[in-house]
Amino acid sequence: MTADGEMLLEIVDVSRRFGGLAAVDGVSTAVRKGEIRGVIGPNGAGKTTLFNVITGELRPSSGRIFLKGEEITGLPPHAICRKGLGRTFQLTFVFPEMTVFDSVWVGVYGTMKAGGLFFSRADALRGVKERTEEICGLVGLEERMNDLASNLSYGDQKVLEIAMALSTGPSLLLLDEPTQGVGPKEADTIVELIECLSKSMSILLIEHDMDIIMRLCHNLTVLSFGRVIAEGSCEVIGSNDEVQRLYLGEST
Amino acid sequence: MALVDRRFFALLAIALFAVLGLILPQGARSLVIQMMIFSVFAMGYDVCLGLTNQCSLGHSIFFGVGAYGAILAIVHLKAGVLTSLAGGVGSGLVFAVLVGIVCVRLSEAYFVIVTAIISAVFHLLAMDLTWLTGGDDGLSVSVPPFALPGVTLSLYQPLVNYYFVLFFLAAAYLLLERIVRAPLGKIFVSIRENEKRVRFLGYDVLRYKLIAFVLSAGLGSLAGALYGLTLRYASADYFSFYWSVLPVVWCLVGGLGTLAGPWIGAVLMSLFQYYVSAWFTYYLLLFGILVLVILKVSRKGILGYILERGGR
Amino acid sequence: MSDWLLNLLFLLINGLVWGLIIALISLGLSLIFGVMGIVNMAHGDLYMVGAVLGFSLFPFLGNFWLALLVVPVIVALIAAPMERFILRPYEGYHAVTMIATVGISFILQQAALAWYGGVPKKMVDPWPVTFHFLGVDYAGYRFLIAAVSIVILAAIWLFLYRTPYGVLIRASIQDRDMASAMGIDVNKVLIATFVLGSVLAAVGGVLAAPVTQVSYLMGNDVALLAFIVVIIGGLGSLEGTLVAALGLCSLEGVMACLLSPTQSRAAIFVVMVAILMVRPRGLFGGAER
Repeated sequence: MTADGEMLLEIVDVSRRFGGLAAVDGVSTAVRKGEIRGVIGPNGAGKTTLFNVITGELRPSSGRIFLKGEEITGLPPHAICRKGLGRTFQLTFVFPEMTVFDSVWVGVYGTMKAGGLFFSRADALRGVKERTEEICGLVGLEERMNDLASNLSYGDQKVLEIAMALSTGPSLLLLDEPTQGVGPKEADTIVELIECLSKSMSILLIEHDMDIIMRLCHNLTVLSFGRVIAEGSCEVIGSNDEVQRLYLGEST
Repeated sequence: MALVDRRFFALLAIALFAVLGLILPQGARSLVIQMMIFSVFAMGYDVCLGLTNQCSLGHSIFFGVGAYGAILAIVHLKAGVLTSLAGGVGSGLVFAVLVGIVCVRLSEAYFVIVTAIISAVFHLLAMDLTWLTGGDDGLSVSVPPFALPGVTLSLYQPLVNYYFVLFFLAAAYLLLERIVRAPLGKIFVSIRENEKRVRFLGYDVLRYKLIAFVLSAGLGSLAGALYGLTLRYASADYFSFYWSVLPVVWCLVGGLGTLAGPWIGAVLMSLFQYYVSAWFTYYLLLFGILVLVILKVSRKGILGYILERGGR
Repeated sequence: MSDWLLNLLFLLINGLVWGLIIALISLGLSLIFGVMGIVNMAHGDLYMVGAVLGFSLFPFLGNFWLALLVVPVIVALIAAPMERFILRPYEGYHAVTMIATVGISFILQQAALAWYGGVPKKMVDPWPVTFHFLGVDYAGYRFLIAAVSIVILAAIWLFLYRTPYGVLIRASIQDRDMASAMGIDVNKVLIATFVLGSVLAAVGGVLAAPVTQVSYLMGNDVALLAFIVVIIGGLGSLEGTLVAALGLCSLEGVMACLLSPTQSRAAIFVVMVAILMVRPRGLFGGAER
């Protein structure tokens, strides 16, 4: 279950400060091709902020970030996305009045450069249509392609989140608590989906559910107060005293 | 499908306009010409507010520039009807790009305020530069006849004026429908639904917002040019805040994002203005009250309400 | 040479005095935006209402100070139901709320037109004293404006930074949801802020009435300036508003000796655009809605 691929994402001494507070403090790590890396830590440890910095929503106050060897520090989100980074959001962040199909379609079209921006009939672009249907089928939403996003159940919206992140064809997928708030059966479906996705892309995963973490991840990065306090394989982290202390009292 | 519903409505409206042109008496016909021009303006504004959620309060800039572009082309360049129309729209597009570059990057509230400020400055300049614009008194022109293959027409003939305007309303509508069903249309809607998310799908959102803004302004200046050519007159008043507010009201009343809904808003407001101003001098007061009442009743506007009830 | 310098000084002082009035009005606008997130298109008309009421009540009451006290009360009684019944229902729908304020603006303007008439009138000088200052005659009343404005600004500052209720308002500017979660009755804060902001505009109107033409359209010009001030200073920033108001008005006042009024206004506008290209949130602007 280890990943020995080349370096996909490299984070070098990255910090992000808000006023006097360092939400992310000198974080360095690297994610390899084919790896599923879990990012864990108590609430407020800086996990989502780290995601925001990596994806370009926030500029790092210091440090550098590299994707596939290319520096992406300070680039705007859309440029970073084009370089192969996809992400989901903690709270579902979809297009309420658009159908599932269209929601995925937008991302696919942007990546495929199928042309005809102004005057072609969108639904007639076959390549885009097929890829969109493919992704919807992959995540299990093919039955609901014509439903409005706002009419989906919460669990389905979480899945749509993932589908939208996939629509741009990322090499690295950042998942921010993909099973938060869903029931156990739906969580299982999502976990299976992630396992399936890991065969074709690397994954960086924020999760609170330890069972899911242990099941999916090759390695873990543990954050506390914005700092990396431990990093390694699941077995190593599992027996780390400091991490145990951190999670004492936390439900697993 | 929603598309069929609103396309049906729009085509019905166009057909209705076409028939009315033949059967209405002169006075009513003039009113309908005005309604059609306002429909172009309203529909254009819908691209800005209804499709990409950009609440501009500066569209009077483009209405005024469109009108003056056309009128000044006739006065100074002795241009024909079609050339001056193109001049009006062209000038509008130029200013749209300039204003858009400044404003599109601004956050919601700043966008609203700054477009309003820029429009107010245009108004001030238009009133001040009387040698160019004629100030509040404005400029009157005579419009030359124009030639189509086989026939010479003059806008002074009421029927010609009517179908001239109707032609551009229909053409503008078909253009927008095409765009809405093109990839650009879906991108616009996604920006409206969740602008931030679209960035994370690899899109430079500002570029698309600018496209929407310029497209919207282009139609505003088309409306201005048509208005100038129809009245044979342009005045600094066309830049006033009133002309920036009207399209917003038309869209909110008629139905945001429906393209044809704002036509209803324009028609209703025109009727209201025409009949009320006859017996009540302070009809703007009633206008203000009417705006409040309409907002109270339905936030989605009339067509939005109908489409929703009819099951999208 | 000295003459020209004196003239410049005169214009500068005039600009600063006018800047203090604009500061009051813009502060009101900034507060309303900061707490409520709405762009109030009727704000200039509340200034106009203050001026019109001040003009009308002054001969009635005989005392300018009395007018200064009575007008805010009247305006508060107009503003409170305005917020409660017209604006609050559209909470969160910014475009709709803004158009509602436009509707209110039309109503206020037309009501003033109907009641007060369309002819601009000049109000009697409440303090017809002139001071001789460095060889220039300066109207005493303008010092009164400055003094009263400074007192009010100081009082507002004390209120916002030194009283519990002021803290509530500032907390609501910072983070409305958090304030609500901490048990603050946000509805009360909304009404109080809207009333406070409107009253500030109206008081500005009363103060301005003797030095400017009172007409039903006077709100438009001032609203434009207030919006420019608030944009340059930064929406929701109170210090920024003050700095921008004083800076812009003195700048405009000084430019008046070189350029026409329209050109000075256009120049201010260019300054605004330049600042926005570099800092899209204004000089001090932080909180985004």
